[in-house]
Amino acid sequence: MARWYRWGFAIAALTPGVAWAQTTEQVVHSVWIATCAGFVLMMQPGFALLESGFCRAKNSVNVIMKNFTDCAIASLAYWAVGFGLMFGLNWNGVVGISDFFPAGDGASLVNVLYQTFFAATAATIISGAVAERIRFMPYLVGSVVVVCLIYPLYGAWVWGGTAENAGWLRGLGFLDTAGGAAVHMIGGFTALGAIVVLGPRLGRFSRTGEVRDIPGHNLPLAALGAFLLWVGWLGFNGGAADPDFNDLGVIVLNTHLGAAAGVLGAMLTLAFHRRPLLMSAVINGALGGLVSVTAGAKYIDPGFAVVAGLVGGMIVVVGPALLQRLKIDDVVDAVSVHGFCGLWGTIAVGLFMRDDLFDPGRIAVQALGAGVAAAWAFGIGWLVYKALDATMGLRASTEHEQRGLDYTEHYEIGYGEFMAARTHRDLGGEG
Amino acid sequence: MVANDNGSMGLNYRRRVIYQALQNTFSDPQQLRVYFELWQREHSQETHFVVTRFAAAVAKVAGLDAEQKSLFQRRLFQGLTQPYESLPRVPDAWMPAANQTDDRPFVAEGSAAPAPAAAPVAPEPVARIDSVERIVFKAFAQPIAAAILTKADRHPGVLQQAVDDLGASTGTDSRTQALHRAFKQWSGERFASDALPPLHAPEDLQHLAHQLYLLAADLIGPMQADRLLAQAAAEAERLPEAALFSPQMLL
Repeated sequence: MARWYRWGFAIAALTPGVAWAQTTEQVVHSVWIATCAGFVLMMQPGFALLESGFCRAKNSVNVIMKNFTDCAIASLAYWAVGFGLMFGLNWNGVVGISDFFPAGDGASLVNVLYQTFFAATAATIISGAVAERIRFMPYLVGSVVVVCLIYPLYGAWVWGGTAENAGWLRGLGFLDTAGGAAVHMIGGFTALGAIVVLGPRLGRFSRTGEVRDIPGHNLPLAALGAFLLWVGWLGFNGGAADPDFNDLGVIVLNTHLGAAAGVLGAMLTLAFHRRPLLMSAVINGALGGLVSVTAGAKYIDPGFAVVAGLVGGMIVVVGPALLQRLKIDDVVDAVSVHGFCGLWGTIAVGLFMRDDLFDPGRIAVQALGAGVAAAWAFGIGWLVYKALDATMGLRASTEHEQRGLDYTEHYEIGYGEFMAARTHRDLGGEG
Repeated sequence: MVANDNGSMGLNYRRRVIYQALQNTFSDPQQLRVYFELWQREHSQETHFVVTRFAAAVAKVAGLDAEQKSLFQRRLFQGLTQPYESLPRVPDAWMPAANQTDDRPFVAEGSAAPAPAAAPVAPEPVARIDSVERIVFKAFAQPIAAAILTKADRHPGVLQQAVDDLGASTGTDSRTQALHRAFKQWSGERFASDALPPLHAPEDLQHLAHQLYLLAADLIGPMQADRLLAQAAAEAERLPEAALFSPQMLL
């Protein structure tokens, strides 16, 4: 342990802005949060590969472009506005009113960075759900609205303020370790609002109600993305450890167990329904398990993390079927993975709270917080995307959908050797 | 059908026969040259002068129906009955580099010159001329339309409904509306090549191709529609006309 602390000092010495006046515990915690921020950033390529792999080849570049650019644009917007709304001086438990364009001391800025990647994660969840038919610019504007309005306001209710002047949900005793509700439910239900406005991809549902599969072009890529997410999640949840690190072990163990149980849950559900063991469902099972333990990672015992993950794995198999019955087209099942599993995981904190199992009062608070997240994200998300549709036009034209958004939005295609589509080079462009 | 199975007919004579038959069938010089070059490339080196094979190839790429194909074939046979001098001269620019002119005196390579005309052939109407774009489009549309019809025939009325729905989601500008009416009319004729609306502009044909894609995505499914589109373009790419108008322009 002593050697670990020395490394902490050494890294901290190289980290600009980390004041030596801080205690050892603060320095180590700052370094840990910076490390976790790196892990959370690594989730972005995870999302990019997962979503791109689940799309048709003709949209693979567009999906990665959305992930890449929303990480950048959402980070700038959240740093400028979102962080202040979420963590600034809390006004009546509703919204932060200070700390815009944060530029304080080193230790607090590490937290800004970590929180910025949380915001980018909430935004990028939407990308997969709306893939293959959304126009690029309205999507980016939507991402900015997510990190400047939908995510930080709910975040202010859950995590904002101080013990004396807390966000209103926090004041009620609502618990969310690392954003099972604040990040994943917000992302998932905003995505639901977006895809309701957007409508399904061309031909996704037949006239007789049959659901047509539109398989992804590269499932190994999707699996690699899921692995990256799994690794990144250790930092995503691990960064929520208290400064004394007493709960770090249970958080990261619960995180991993949740993912493992999610895989098992998905496989069991597929087997129960006598369906093939689809890799696409199994990797979503891992993600569903991860989401399901995100709210409770700090508060529940490992045995219950397994239960939470197992149910999450089941939800990702059942959830998409429910949406399909409603003729809602979610390309990567983001609503089920992040929205539905986030909902379950948030309530699971109330059910499985350590030393306070099945407390009705706690369950009610958790259910209230989850319900508010779903209603807020879906309601505002629907309004925002409806407004974007009316002003900018949200849906790509059918011609563009036919040709693929790689070519029509970016004038580049992902797999030039195998696709006959023209590119800007054929049209006399540069290159 | 072998016109001269001893292989004695001179190449220049064959060229003139082909040229005359094409000239009497296709008025568009560009199209005429495409088919002439098709013969030069694919058929001129054949040991025997098999006119039926070339007639079949032209009929396929030009979308000639049985009657038009038969007429074209008769013109080829008619040419074979004419003396060399009475056949029209092939433009020098069309001749292969090794043989820049065809005005050298015809010398039969075999023992006999072609027989004189046996009987005058009554003038016949010239086959309908298709632009290169239309030829490519017809070849491109054929497999997609066939797949759509196969599916639609299993569910009576569904094609009509799908086309009407397409109209409802089509733009309201007059050009788009007119194109949709043309498409609807064409669908009523079961996408027959002969019934293709009189559209020639690449962007209009591209619009029709897109409507076909939308129908395929609706009735067959998006993956099949993508696949059909790619296959249709690849097939049409093999046409000689594709050198002048790539089927990629329809995508």
